[in-house]
Amino acid sequence: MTHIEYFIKGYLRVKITGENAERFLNLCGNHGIMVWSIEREGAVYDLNIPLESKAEMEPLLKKTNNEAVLLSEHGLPFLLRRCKRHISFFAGMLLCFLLWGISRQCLWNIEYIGNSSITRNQLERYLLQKDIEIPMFLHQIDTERLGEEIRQDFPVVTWVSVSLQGTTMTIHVKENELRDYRQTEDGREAYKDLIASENGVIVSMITRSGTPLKAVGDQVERGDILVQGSYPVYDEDGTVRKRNYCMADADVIVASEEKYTLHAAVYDIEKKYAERTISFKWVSVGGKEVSPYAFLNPEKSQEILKVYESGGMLLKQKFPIQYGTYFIKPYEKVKKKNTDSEMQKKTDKMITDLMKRIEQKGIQIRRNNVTIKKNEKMWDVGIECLLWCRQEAMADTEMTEITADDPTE
Amino acid sequence: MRRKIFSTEQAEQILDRLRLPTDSVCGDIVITVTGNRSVFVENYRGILEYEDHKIVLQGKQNKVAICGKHLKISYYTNENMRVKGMISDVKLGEYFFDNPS
Repeated sequence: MTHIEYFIKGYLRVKITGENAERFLNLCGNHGIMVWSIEREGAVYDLNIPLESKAEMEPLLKKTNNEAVLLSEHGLPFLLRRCKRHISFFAGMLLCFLLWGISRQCLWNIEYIGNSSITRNQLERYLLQKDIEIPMFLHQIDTERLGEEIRQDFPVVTWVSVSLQGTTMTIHVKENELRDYRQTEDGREAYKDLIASENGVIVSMITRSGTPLKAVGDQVERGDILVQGSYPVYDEDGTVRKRNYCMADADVIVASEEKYTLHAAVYDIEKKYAERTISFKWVSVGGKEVSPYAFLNPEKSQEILKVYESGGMLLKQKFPIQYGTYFIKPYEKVKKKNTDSEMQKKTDKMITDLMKRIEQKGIQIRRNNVTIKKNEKMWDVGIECLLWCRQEAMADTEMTEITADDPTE
Repeated sequence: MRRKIFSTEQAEQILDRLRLPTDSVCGDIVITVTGNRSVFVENYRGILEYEDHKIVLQGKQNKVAICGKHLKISYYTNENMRVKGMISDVKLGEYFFDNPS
């Protein structure tokens, strides 16, 4: 610590010549002058003395008939004198450290982990309501309180952790994946009917809970109740005493005829790419981008690839400065006429894609008829299908009150 | 000349009873040797001799000689000093200096 202190204050390396060097050292000790790194080379001594003790040392040298020769100057005062010409460089470095120190105290990034039903945008909007936005000082964020508020305001969240690491805030949530669908959002018990989502004929029906209102072979229309979410409780005389409510649960398959029409254009527009790719560097500071791309003609047809070369991360510190490269590939639009065989392939692919999309929804295709009408510009593809659809749409059960005096019951 | 109230033995007995450190009260020289490369000396009066192979220090009651090679005083104040180098001997007592053989 002493050496650091003397480095800051400055010190001298001197050579002491004379016969009474030991006496000079003793006098230095008695006068409280710190000397260090004393080395004897023949009849002379090399030693370090503090810059502030230079004036005190001179009478002692005279008294002991010694002479001092300055060998070198060390420490901050001499370093600053040497660097006076480059003062702007040091000022810049100081400013840089200052800005870095300030930016370390700010929030620059928010990460969301574990959210699936609550979207990132929802959470971002929520944080903005709570006056948490980028950038802000880290000490203004109360992570514990924020965690509690998220838990209160989002009932689906069962666990939340808000932590600060460097300049990044991480919000880790766990959502209730086994949410009870029998409960409404306020926590009350819900009763639902199973309704038809397609027009058609019921081909299969297995009821697990609720009262079936339709049977196999019945024609149903979209919105018809298939299974009611309630069942009657009868009195001894056969009258309905009350209705118990439940969630309707049944496997109902409705066969329906569907018609689809696809249009395949005879003329396609193809991209004819230019031979060379243009690239530009871009820099983004605080979300504002600077690039020569802004001066280009934006109406020209071109494909743009934006590459981020820096995530702006340094020691877990995210800064609002990013840079990268634009790769721009201009092209021209060229009209091309498809041959009959190409059109056949194109329509086949469209039909296959449609069938795949239907099957992905869990619908069985029992039969399909395809008709193609050709004209100069377009091929119209008509598809008639017989689909077997599992009915899964639900609607709230109508609640009815039954009184003993009601003559209808 | 100042006359001593207690002899050295009496003074040591009193300090032992009072459980006081004898080095600081009597002004005895304290030498701490670390390996053969460093010696830390406290409670000395001054340097009598400083050469590349020998440093002689004056204590209150006796002298101390630190012998070796390439001896260098790392730092030096009126309270303590540190000597570094290849240390071979640390010698104490008047008789050695009177009769160096």
